[in-house]
Amino acid sequence: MQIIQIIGIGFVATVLIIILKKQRPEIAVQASIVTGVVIFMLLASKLVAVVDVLGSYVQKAEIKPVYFATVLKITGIAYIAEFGAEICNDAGESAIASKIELAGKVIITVLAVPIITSMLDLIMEIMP
Amino acid sequence: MTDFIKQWIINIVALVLFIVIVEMLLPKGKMKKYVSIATGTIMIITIVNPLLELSGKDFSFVEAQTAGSNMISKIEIENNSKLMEQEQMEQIIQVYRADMIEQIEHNAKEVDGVREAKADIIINEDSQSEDFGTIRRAYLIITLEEDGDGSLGIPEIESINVVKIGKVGKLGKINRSQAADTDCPHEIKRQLQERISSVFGVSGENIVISKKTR
Repeated sequence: MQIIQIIGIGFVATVLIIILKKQRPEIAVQASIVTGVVIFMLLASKLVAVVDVLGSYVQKAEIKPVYFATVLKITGIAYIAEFGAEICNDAGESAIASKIELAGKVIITVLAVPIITSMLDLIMEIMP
Repeated sequence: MTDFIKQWIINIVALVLFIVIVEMLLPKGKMKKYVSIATGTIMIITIVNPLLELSGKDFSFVEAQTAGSNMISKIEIENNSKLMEQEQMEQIIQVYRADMIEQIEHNAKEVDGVREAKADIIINEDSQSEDFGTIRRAYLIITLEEDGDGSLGIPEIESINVVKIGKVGKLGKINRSQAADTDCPHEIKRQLQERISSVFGVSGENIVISKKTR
């Protein structure tokens, strides 16, 4: 049961970070980052498997791969931006966290704008 | 027709399921609504596009999306290239200025009686102008050979001028060229001005020469 492993890592890291915050607050932030990365790495292989399965079903259903790729890219960017922003928030740097969120939003918008403009093109095509 | 409707329904159902799974995986933060806009738009396109095909009109989502992405990339590259061009121009000006200063100092040292020379220049930095790069004003601080190197023996103590308190305004009117006249020997100054004028095309009044004070 991998979830037990992950919860275990999470609990141990939380206790350590609480102790470290009083003694060495500068190491507490690093421990928090490392814990986040370790948990993400444990999940990465499973996530890859899920994405592969979804990809194969997208091919079977004859959905255009560009939809799949765009949605996955946007989801990945959203996830990484949230991850980075939360680490900064934990370290008490909410200003940097909001900048990371802004960067995530801008990059998602850059990816979403072509989709929105193509929908506008589609609407204009429909109009007589 | 039945195949068309079947494929259409499969497309919609598969995409809905895919989007639901993606939204399950999404963090619950502020990003969710941005992802929802993109997924929602893709959903609308998937629903509407087959209707368009049915009516005989052809619309390629991939082409439209590629065109949109290319447009954004083009604008981004144009903006970046403008910035790079500006940075490159600044670097060129810096290198050119350093080279000119070095050449002026080298030329000044070739004049008899000049041991050391430190130069500074003001150049036309407007790249759109026809006179781009021309030297507008040159400042030269020279050390004469007769002054000695200053490192050996006891240095000569300079005489202190009388400071008249309350006449600052009058003293303040002395400009750099007037100061240079009193500091620098006239013959050396003339030779330096002639040399710099002929080599770098700077008019004599724009060359300010002064003697280094210890």
